[in-house]
Amino acid sequence: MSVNLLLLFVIFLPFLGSFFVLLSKDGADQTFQNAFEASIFTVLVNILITLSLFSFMPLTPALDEIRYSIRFLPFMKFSFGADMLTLLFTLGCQMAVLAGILGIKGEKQNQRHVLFYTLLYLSFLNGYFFALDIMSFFIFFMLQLFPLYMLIGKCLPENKHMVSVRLFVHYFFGAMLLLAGCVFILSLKQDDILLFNIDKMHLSYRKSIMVWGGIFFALILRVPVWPFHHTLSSVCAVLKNPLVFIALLIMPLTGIYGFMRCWPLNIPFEISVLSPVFQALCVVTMLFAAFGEYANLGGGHKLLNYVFIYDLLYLLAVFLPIDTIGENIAYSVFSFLLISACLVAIEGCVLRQSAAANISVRGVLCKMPRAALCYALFVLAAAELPVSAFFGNNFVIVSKIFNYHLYMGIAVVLCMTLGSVSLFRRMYVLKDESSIYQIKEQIEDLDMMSFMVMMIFMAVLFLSLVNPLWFAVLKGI
Amino acid sequence: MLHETLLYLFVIGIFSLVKTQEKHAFLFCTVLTFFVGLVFTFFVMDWRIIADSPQVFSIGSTVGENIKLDIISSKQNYMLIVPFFVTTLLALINNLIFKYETHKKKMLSLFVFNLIAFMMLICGNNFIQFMTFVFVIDILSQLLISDINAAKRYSMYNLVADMGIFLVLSMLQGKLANLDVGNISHYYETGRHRDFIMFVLMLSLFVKWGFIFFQGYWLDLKSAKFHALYFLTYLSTPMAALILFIKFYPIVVVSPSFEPLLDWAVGLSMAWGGLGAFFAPQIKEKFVYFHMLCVAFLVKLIEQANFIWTESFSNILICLFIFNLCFYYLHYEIDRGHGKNKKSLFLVFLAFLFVVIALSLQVFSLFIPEHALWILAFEGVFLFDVSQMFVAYGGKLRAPNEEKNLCTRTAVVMLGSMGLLAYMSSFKVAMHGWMVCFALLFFVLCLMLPKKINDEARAFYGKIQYVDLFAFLYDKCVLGIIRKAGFLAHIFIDFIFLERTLWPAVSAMNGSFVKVYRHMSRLGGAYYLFCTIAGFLIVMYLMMR
Repeated sequence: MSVNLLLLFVIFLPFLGSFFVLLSKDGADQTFQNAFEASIFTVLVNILITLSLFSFMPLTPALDEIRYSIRFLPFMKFSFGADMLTLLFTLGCQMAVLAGILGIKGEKQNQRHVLFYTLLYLSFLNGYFFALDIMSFFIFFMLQLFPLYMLIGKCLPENKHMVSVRLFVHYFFGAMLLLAGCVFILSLKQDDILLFNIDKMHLSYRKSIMVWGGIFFALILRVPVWPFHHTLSSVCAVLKNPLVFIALLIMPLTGIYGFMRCWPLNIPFEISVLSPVFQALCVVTMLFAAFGEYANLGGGHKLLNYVFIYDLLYLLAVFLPIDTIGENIAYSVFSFLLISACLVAIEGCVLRQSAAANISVRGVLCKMPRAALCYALFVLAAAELPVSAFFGNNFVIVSKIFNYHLYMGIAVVLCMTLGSVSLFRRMYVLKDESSIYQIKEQIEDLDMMSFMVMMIFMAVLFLSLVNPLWFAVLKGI
Repeated sequence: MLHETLLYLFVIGIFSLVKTQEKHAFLFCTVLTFFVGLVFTFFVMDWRIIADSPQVFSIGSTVGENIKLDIISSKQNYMLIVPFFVTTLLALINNLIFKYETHKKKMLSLFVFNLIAFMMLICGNNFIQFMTFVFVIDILSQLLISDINAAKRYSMYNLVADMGIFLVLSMLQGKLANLDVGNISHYYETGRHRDFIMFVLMLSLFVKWGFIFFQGYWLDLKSAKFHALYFLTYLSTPMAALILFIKFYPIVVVSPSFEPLLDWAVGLSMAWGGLGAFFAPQIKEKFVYFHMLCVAFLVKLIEQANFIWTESFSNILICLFIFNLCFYYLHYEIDRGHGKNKKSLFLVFLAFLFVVIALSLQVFSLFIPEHALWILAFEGVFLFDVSQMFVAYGGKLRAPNEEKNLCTRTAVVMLGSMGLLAYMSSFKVAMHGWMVCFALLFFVLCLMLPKKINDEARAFYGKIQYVDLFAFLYDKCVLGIIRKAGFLAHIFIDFIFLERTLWPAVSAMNGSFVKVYRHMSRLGGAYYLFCTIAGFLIVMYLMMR
C-alpha cells in the first residue's frame, strides 16, 4: 500500500469511524457496547497504521520524509507529511485516546456521543499533526475546537456551562490570531507555504511582528502558562469523564507541537526581547502547579497539575536555542501521553467504583489488584522511574535546561520532584490498607481488556528504555 | 564473564517467578539457591582468570544521545561485586533454613533481582544506567516493607534523594554532553558550582545512608520484619549509595567543603548511632542505630582509602551482614524462645563474638595512624554498645543467673579480647598504652553502670524519641509554608486577581462591546457596509506595509 494512502488513512479513518459510532444501535439496556467496540476498533486500526508508517522512516529523520499533497480546489492545496516527530505525537495521542475509551467502559450513562466527538477530535488532531503547509495547519488547528467544545459540553454539569464557553472563546481567540498570522504569510506567497519555511521568508519589521506575534500567542494560548492556565484548569476541575479529561490534556501538547513545527531556532528579534519574561512566567507557573499538586488532595487536581508541569517543561525545552532535542521531546511526550492517560483512566475507574459503593477512595486499590498494579507501575513511571523512555529523554531535556540556565534547571527539577512526591502520596492514599475494614461492598476491578492494554503500554515504555520504539522503527509492523 | 553471570542469574530470577504449589515451594527454592551457589562458583572462577584490561559488553544505543547499558568485566568490578554476591548467598541460605519465613519464593526472587540490579549498577559506565539501577534497587527494597506508612516514608525519602542525584547528573550531562562516568573529572574544566554539586549529591547520599537528620524513615522500619531489615541495611539503598559515592568521588572531592561536611556528618551519625544503639529500648531500633553507626564509619573508611575498594572492605561488609544475622537470631532466641534453649543461645553468642572479632581485625587492618581517631571512636562505641546489649539481654532473661552470667561473661570476653587485639595490632604504632588502658577502664565502668543511671538514660531517650524534631520542622517549616503560600496565592492571584478582577473586567468589556455592537447593528445595512469596508481597508493597509 502506498505510503501516501496510509497517511490519508490515519487522518480520515477516525472521521469515518465516528459516523459508525454515531449510527450504532444501543443495547436493550441502554448500554453503548456497539459504539464502544466500534471506537476501540477504529483507534486500534489507526494505531496499527501509524506504527506501520514508522517502517518508512529512515534512521536520520528530516522534516518531510513522507510528503503528500492534495489539491481540493484550484486555489487550495493541502500538504501532508510525516517525520518521526509527527508520528510520535500522533501515536501518543491515539494511544492516550484508547486508554481514555477504556476508562469510560464502566460508565452507566450512554457515551455514544462522547465517543463520536472523540473520534472526530482524533481525526482533526491527526490532520493537524500531519499538516505541512500553513493553510492545512490552520484549518485543523481550528477544526479541533468544535468536537472539543461539544465533548466538554456533553460532560459538564448543567450549571457549569459558562466555563466551557469561556474555554472555547479562549481557544477561538488563539485561532483567530493564527488566522491573522496566516493571512499575512499568504499575502506574500499565494500557494503552499510550508511550516518550516516561514522563518526563511523576508518580512518587514511590522509584518514580522504581526506574523510571529500571531503565531506565538495563538500557540501559547493553548499551553497553560499563567494567566492562560485558568480557563483550562477551571474546566478540568469539574470534569468527571476520563476520556474528555484526556482530550483536554492533549490540547496544550498541540500548542507545543506547533512551536516545534514552525518556531525558528533563533527566536525572531521582535519576540526575543520578551523571551526572559516568558521563561520566567513558565517557571513561576510550573512552581505554582507543583505546589498546587502537592497541596491538593483530589486525584483530578493532582493529575492536572502534574500534566501542567510537564507541558511547561516541554515548552521551556522547545524555546531553548538547541536543535538537537526535538526528538527527545517527542519521545518524552509520547511516553508522557501514555502515562498520564493511563493514570487518568485508572483514577476515573477508582472514582467510579468508590462513588458506586458510596465510600471514600482511601484504600480502594487494595480491593482492586489489577488497577493497583497498573496504577503503581504508571506512578513509578510518572515519577521518573528510569526503566522507561520517559526518564532517559527527560534527563536529556533537563540537562539542556541546566546548561542554559542553572536556576531554571533547579526550579524544573524541584517541580518534577514535587510532582512525583504528590503522585506517590496519592498512590499511598489509594492503597492505604488501614482503611480496608471500612470497605465492605464488592468493588469491581479493572476489566481484563483494560488491564492487558495498560500492560502493553507499560511494556512499550519499558522496551523503549535504551532505544525508544526500536521495535517499530526498525521493523515496522 | 560478567554478562554471562548476569544472564544465568536472570534466568534463575525468571524461574523464581514461576508459580508452584505451596508444598513444592521449599524444594523449588532449594534448587534455585543451589543454582545461585553454582553461578557464584563460576563467578569466582571467572574472577581468577580475568585479564587486566576490562572487557565491555554493551546493549543498544539511541540515535541522538549515547544512552546504553554497559557490562564491564574488570577486576575492580569483580572485587566490588563479591561482598554483595556473598551476602545475597548468605541471605538465600538463611531464607531457606529459617522455618518462620513463609514467603520463601518471594524473598528468593527479590534477592536474586536485587543482586542483578547491584551488579548492573557496579559494572555500568553510564549515568542513565546508574540512575536506572539505583531506582530499581529502591523499588525492590520497598516491596519488602509491608507497613504502608513505613513504605510511604521510605519511598518518599528515597525519591527525593534520587531526584537530587538526577539533578546533579543532568547538570553534568548538560555541560559534558556525554553520559560516560569516566568524563566527570573533566567537568570543572568548563563547569562551575562545585560546592552546589557536592552539597546536593552528598545530601542525597546522606538520605540514602540514613545519616543523622534523615534516620526517621529507618526508625519507621522497626515495624518491619527482621528479614526485611537486614536486607534493607546491607543489600539495598545504603549500599547502592556507597557504590555511587565510589563512582562519583571526582566531582565531590574538588569542593573544599567536602571534607568538613563529610567529617561532621559521619561524626554526628556515629555519635547518634552509638547513643541510639545504647539507649533504644527495642532491638530493631538498636539494629537501625547500629546500621547508622556502621555505615557512617564505612563511608569514612572508604574516603580515607581514596575511594579504592579493597578486599578488606568486602570482608567488613560481609562481617557486618553476619553481625546482622546474629542480631536476628539473638532476637529470635530471646524474644521467641525466651532463652530456654541454652545451647542455641550459647552458639549465637559465640557467633556474635567471632564476627565482632573478625570485624575488628578487618578494621584494624585498614589502620592508618593519621586516622586513628575514627577507628578508635568506632571500635569503642561499637564494642561498648554490643557489650551493653549483651548485658541488657542478660537482664531480660527470665531464667536468671546462669544465662545472665553467660551474657555478661560474653561481653567481658569480647571487650577484653578487643582491648588486647587493639593493643597488639596497628594501634600500638599510634597510641600510647595509657590510652588503651583508659579505653578499657571506660568500658569496664560502662559495664558496671548503675541500674538507676541506665534507667534514667533510657527514659530520657524515650522522651527524645517522642519529640520527632525532623517531622515537626518539616511540618511547620516546609508543609506549613507551602500550604500558606499556596492558599495566599490562590486567594490573591487566582481568586481576587483572576476570578474577581481580570476575568470580570474582560467580561464587562466584552459586554460593553456587545452592547455597542447591538446598538450599531440596529442601524441596519449601512453599518455592515461600513464595517466591511473599514476592515478591508485596515487589512490592505497592513499588508501593503
